[in-house]
Amino acid sequence: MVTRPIRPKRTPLARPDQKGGQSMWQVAWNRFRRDPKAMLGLYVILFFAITAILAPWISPHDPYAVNLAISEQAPSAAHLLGTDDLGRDVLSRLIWGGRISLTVGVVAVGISLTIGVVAGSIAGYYGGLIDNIIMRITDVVMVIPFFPLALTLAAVLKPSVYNTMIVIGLLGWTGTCRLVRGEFLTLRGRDFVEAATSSGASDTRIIFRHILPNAMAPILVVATLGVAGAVISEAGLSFLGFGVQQPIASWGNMLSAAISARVLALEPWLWIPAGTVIFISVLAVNLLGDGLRDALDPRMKQ
Amino acid sequence: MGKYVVRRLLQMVPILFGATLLIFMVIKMAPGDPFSAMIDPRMDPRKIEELRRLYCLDCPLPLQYWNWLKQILQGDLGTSIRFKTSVSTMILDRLGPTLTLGIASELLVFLFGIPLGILAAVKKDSWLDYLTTGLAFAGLSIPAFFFGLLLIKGFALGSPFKLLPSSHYLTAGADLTGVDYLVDIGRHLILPALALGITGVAGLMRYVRTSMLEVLKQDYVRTARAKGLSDKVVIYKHALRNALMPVITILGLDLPALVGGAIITESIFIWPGIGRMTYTALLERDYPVLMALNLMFALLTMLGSLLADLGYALVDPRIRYD
Amino acid sequence: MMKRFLVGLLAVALLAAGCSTKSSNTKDPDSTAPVDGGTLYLSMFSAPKGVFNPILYEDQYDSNVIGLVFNGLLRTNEKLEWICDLCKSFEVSADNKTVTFILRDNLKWHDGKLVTTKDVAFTFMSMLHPDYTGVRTGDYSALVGVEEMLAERDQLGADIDAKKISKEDAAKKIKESWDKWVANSSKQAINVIDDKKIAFTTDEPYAPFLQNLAFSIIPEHVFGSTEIGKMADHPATKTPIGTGPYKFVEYKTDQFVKLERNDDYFMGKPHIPTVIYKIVNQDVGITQLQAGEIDYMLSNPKDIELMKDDKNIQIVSNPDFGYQYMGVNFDHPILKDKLVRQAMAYAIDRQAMVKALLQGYGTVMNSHMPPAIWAYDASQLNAYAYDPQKAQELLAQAGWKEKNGDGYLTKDGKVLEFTLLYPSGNKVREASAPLIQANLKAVGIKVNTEMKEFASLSTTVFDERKMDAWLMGWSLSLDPDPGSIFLPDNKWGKVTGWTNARSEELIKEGTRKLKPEERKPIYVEWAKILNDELPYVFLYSQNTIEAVRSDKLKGLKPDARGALWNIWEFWIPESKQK
Repeated sequence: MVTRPIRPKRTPLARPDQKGGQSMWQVAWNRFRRDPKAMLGLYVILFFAITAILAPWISPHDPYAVNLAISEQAPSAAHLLGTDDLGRDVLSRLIWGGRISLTVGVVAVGISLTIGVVAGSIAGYYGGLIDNIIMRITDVVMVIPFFPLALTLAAVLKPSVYNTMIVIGLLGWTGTCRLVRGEFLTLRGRDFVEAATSSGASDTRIIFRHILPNAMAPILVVATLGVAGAVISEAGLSFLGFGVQQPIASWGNMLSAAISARVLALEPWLWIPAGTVIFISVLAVNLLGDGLRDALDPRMKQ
Repeated sequence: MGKYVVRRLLQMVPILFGATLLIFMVIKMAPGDPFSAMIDPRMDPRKIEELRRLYCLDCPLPLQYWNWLKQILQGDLGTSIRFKTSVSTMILDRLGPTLTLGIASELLVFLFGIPLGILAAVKKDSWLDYLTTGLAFAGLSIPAFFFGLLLIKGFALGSPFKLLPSSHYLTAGADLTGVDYLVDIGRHLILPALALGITGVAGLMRYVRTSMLEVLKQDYVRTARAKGLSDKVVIYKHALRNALMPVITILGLDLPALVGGAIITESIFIWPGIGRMTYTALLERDYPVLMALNLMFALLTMLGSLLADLGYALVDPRIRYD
Repeated sequence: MMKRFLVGLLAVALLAAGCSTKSSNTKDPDSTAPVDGGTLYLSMFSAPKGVFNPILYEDQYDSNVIGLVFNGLLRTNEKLEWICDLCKSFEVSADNKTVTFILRDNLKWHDGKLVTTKDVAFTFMSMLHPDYTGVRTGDYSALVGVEEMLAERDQLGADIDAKKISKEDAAKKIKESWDKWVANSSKQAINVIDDKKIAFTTDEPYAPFLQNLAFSIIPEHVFGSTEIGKMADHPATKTPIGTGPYKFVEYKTDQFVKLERNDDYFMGKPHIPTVIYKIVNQDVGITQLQAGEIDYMLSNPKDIELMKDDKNIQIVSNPDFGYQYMGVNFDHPILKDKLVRQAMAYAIDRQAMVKALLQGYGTVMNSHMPPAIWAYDASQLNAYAYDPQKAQELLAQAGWKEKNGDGYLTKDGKVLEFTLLYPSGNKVREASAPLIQANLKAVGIKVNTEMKEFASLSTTVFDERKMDAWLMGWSLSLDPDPGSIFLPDNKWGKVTGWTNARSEELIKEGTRKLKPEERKPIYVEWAKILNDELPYVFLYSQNTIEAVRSDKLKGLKPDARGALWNIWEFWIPESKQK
């Protein structure tokens, strides 16, 4: 289910060497551009992102304005997607909720990426004892399943937007860490790294300026797919009562708040929009990630 | 090989220790204890203090962890504070349904994921490829609780069909035996297994498709084709074997999920499994239960990855562990 | 295995019951004679823990099952007054300190053994025993000598915490004090006069005691030989043996509990042979009711809309014994001001909450007594009807006059602001938090809401007192004594930090009189103090709503006790027995 991570491909992805006229990113972009699925994903994500950014200006109503006199009204001209149990405008909450849900997704992945990349780089670059220690810590975190640990952490931190990000982020870094470590192990022996080492560059410089950029492609793919996973995880946490808290709207808590026999039967405007935006946005991110993978891996396309 | 296994098993010990210590600290950081949710004026606050003392809930944390560790080393998982029964009994009671659901959903994953993945790869860029790929993406993009409820609405309750039961593992009070009993479980299994398996099917399908496409481009497949072997032979004899090898890893990695149950799916379908127990124990801070469960999850995760590695070696003669 | 028993048992029971309710042979005028057969499917939303032992269980879900399997000495009638259940008569002494019960004749446990006063004494003695692992000891502290013993225990516990005494030594002393009580006072406190007659005596008259004695009785011949501390491990804790209308058959973990009728039940042999308590998903339970998968469920106001046109479903709604409130911490410099609390009561549109969130199935609360309790009397209370204008006047009177740029009131440069904690889990309560926030914003009070998971919140509030204000509910019992919630010397009472000498006096006085008509004026006066002081801003009391398949289930006589109280009289027409 949601806990099952989308597994990154095991085969190593394309690794651009720093030569050739066209940069590797240029090549990839050209390839990406010709992939209609990926472009669709990109456009949809851009649409959601822009909507989220513009929320204060385009949202028709105040998403927090409660008015019991108009609670649970069906869509109308005044409220295009109807109102919820407190009389709040569903469309406005959806627009603002996108802000929260997408931010949670991106920041959570940012957190897990930062931890994963730093830990993985250090482990892969230095090897030996340091590698061993870091990888054992990774093992420890990895052997505890997501939801039990996430819920416990959420109880420690109390449910809120920031803590939802932190919880998802803190538990998602192990995959990235392993991936980055693997990349570093292969790249460490390459000529350009040896050259940098012999020219007296510092470790930090070698890690961040020389090796990391070359490992960016697979990290980018994992990160993109991670955003999709995080949006779904946020919804799951909300369903279990540990996600983003009311009155702040997130797509996850809007959908889980709407789940009841009555709403399913009588008030479709409370669950269809929230369900649809989650579905479409996650779908778009997945398409985007998939397209990125194809674009960055030259062996995949003739 | 034997030495390798022993070494791996030995490596587990410190990791298990670390994992239980970590989870212990996290659980203890969460405010509250098994008695703090009892907000009932008729429950005696003085007695509750007594019980806290009895269960050593106010003891220093290192002492509490040490007590737990001692108990585990004696092979005792402890007694639940809220269920007032031994944790091992609680787990055993719920293992059957959880395994049944886990295996059913895993079967679903393999029965659909692999053939669809192959089909999509072999018929690359055909409508079939697009359809299965589309479905796979859809499966990956839907929150589990939402999909579960849609299934209930569509196939069980409130639907004109009412084809399948909406909850439970057995028909309540039907007292079936033999084949009827199995059929009954089967009918109850379909919806939750689908809800639980959908992401897996989608994931595996994508995975098999990619790995199949890759194999089909390898030299030896090209050679086989050039030698004039028919497409079928090439695909099923040479390519498939190689493409499916990584699948073993997936199976191994799924082992803990199989036993760990699925909190959301089990909650929605009132499935009497480990996942719901985990959730209840979490909300109630039932420490002995939580610690035992996490120990079990951790152990299984590691065993799973060991098995995956061994299985890999078994099918791929190039891999040797020593 | 089951013994077909005396034909005349029902008649005997009815004759014996000077305290029984309306006779059980009046029938619905438009129904035919009851027939036996069929299966009744009840439902609950969460799995019981399987602790089906009345003295040990902690969950409401376990108590659903216990309620069908066990009986207490007393139960309630349709006016919610105490009447006999296992007893055939009871009597309160002139000094109001002793209650004497005489058991019914020929009462049998489900295993066929006779019920005697030994069982009754055993039940209550077990709960006082130092090794007892349940949480109900305090209910019996009024018995002769018990409070003294419990205070000693408590002191020893505190000494352990302060490291003044070792756990072993303390345990020894606790055992000594128990032995002392057993030797000196227990015969007086719980006096087994003969097999049928038992008397309980308290140190002082204590009105709630009748309710506490109504507790389910457990069999001595089953548990008697077990150490009290190990009772939880006894098989009969999982597979109980009681006296009730239904016998326990099995609990399929986390799925359903199966019960079969007790042919010897003293109120009459139930018509329905099998009862199954199913665990259902709260979100879709209503559809299961409509589909006929279950015959009974607790519903909520919003789901009524789905059933209102369904002729097969009967809704039974009653005022509830619980209510929701916003508690305040009197250590908070702003909230300790009575004018501010009163202003909040005026500013929060509680009427609208009841109307919109509860669809009218509830009551606005203005003091502690919920409407189901006989001590409830709203007529003398200030109703704090929604009046933002008045709220603003009160705030101005309290010195909150200036508005800052955001529209919030300030005084001496400080903003009128506090944080409201609320627990997750109750949808209506969760929805009320943003409403309160919006209502208070309208009069210039800034509320920061913060949701916490239940156990975390209760620790923050009740153990650590690190809160400004919080949302929570009380679920009360029949006796109106509010001592455990509003006497500042106990855990729940001290949480607000509110103290009031007159309130304490009245609470204590209320327990010393036994007759409701004597107690009521005391509680009415007390409720007025709360209504004025507002240690809580009282919110609402949500009605209980039960939904029953009335096409299948006949013989219902729903009243204040709800729909299920006479389950042994329920029957299912042959056409619906399947």
